[in-house]
Amino acid sequence: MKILIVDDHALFRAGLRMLLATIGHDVVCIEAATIDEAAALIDSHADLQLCLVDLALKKENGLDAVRRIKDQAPQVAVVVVSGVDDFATIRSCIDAGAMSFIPKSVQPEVLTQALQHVLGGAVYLPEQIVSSAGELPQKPMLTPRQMQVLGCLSRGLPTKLISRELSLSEHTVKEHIALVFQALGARNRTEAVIKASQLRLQELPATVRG
Amino acid sequence: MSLSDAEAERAVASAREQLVELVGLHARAMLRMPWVQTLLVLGIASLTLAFVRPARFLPWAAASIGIELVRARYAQGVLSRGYEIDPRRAHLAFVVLAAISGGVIGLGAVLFLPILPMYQQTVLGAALLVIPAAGVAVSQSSRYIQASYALCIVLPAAATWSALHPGQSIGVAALTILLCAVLILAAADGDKLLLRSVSIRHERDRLVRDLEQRNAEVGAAMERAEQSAQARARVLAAASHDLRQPLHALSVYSAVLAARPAPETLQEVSQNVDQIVRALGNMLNGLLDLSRLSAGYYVPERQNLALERLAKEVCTEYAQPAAQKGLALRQECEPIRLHGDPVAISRILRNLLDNAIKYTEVGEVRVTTALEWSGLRAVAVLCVSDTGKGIPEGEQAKIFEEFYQLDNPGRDRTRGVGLGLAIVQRLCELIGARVEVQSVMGEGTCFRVSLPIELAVPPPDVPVLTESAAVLRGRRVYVVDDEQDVLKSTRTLLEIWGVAVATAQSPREAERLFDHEGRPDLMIVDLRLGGGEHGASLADRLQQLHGHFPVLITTGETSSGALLEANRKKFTMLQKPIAPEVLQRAIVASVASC
Repeated sequence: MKILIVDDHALFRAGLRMLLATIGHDVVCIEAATIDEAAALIDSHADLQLCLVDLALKKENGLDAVRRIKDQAPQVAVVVVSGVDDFATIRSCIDAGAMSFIPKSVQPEVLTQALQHVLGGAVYLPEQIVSSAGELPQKPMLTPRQMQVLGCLSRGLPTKLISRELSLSEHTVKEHIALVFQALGARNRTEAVIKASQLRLQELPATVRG
Repeated sequence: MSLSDAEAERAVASAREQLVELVGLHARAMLRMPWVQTLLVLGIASLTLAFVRPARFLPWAAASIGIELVRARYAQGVLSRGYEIDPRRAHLAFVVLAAISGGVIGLGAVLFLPILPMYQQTVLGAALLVIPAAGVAVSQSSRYIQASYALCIVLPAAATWSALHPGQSIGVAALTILLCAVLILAAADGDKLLLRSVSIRHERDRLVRDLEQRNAEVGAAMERAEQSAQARARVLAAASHDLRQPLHALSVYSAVLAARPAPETLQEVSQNVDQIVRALGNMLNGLLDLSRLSAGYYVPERQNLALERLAKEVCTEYAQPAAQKGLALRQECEPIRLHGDPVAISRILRNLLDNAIKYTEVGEVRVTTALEWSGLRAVAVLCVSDTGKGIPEGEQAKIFEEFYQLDNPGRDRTRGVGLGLAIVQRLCELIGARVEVQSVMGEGTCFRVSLPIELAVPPPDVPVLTESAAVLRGRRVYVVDDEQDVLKSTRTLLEIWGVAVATAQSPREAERLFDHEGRPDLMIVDLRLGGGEHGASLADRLQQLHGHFPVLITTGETSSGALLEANRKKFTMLQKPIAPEVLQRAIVASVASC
């Protein structure tokens, strides 16, 4: 699995690289300190699957990095790893197409867990978001197909890519998405990802590629 | 200045102002006097026309109007110069003019009373007594003007009257005395009133000034508090990010270790953790230093120190790091003695040197100390310049902010934490110094720290002019010494005492001074002048060329040929170091002896 780490702090990048190498199998890490470096690396590594992005880049906003990466390579799953961890920031990351959000301030064992989740293709959101839900709907009954669509949504895939991945027509995918939103009581992708995470739906194995 | 001194000074200022006020009022009244006097003369003329010959009357009338014209003219001059007049002199002039004016009127009594019939005598006599009464208004409360005017009119009139009517002389004398006393007392009362109004105005002005000053102080204090609160908030915000970052990294390494990494990774982990921990330590120490400086816990020390020696010591510490980067570390240190905080100054220099070496890849780092002089104030300038890449103009102000780092996008903590210059600036503020940066992109950067010099002797010890030393004021003294900072500090000291100083650094310059400016009231010359000639023989030669003048020879030596010669020439010798009181006494004695 090839992973790109975007962070301006060299020592943090190195630590993350070693941790991923230790807990993952066949992990190859490449590193970038700026958005441009990241974009260049994404271009030259077509087999890139996962991207870990810091939000506080020197003079650059990590959110822009997330958008740019999703633009350039929608199939790459983006995970934000950040020092800030307020609700609004997390929401806007998901909005921008991030699949997961790992706060840097978590305990070391939680960090390891979160990265394991992400390596396994699952969504990870900070505990405070997951537990902050008000009244939760009953755990909805989703069909396996709908679960697959939800998994794709979580990874930030656009409809076209979901239809290609699941070999469905775009029209069918749109219908599935509408049903998933309805089942979760969500109005958009971000809400759906957060709700699914709160309902612990993401612990069901999502489609793992490759 | 003690409180009573201040009060005394205020009283003097108030008395002067009162006199200015009085003189001004009087001068304004004087402008009308020629007209008044003309009417008076016409009145007396109508009374005496039938009895006094014009040859007798006209010269008197002319003199009497003439003196009023003179008074009015003088008054105009006083008014046009306003506050620049010397009020004492103007007042005295008005007293004299009032006496002359009164005298001329009195002379009228002597001239006309004897030849007038009884009825006209009585009217003129009465008129002459009324005129000084009107003078109370005109004198504007000066008892002196009033007295000279009234007495000069009333005394001749009363004397003439008594001579014409010997039987009434006692009564006339009594009346005259009473009249004059009442008039002078009335003027004196007015005087008191004027003084009181002036002092009330003074008091009011002082209160307003005090209030304004107090307001300004409170405003300034509030502004300082505001600024320091803002600075603290900024530091805290920057610190929270910069302290958290290494902590987050540490947490990753902790996770790596917990996940049992491959043994070959351990080496890198330990290196990185070591780097992070060091950076964190540096940052914490820097922050603690900064907060200690900001909170005012640091009390600057004050002691005599040799700046060039201190600079050399610090440079030795950095010889090794500079050499490691292949940089030349040069020093150009002019000897400077100053009174200051050696700990703070070395810390400032250390931080600047550290920075210079960090940001310079090729070339050199140069440390210089130099004395600069602006008017009476001496400034020691400590410079650290490098041949690094320079600081863009837009960033030059920001580099003194906490956690600001130039060209360190990775925030690589091995390159420092960005607190060094903030600490430099804080320290400079604390010791009253100023730090500036000059930088040219691609050529290098120079940090300039200007340290205020208080003469090697702190100011409170500089003796003020004693009574006997007042003779020094305005004296011309030449100082000849080959050490520039001695010249400068001596000049400062002498100028504080009001001496007009010229300096020369060599026998040649001294000769030129004598050629252009002539012989001084005193020459102070160092025995050891660096070149061939010593101070005593220079003084001797100049005395032969330009005539005798007193000479003081200063020396740090206790035995030498030059010293013997100086003794033979009977020059006054002063052994260095010379306390200012000793120097002052010696100068007074030399100047007084010639």
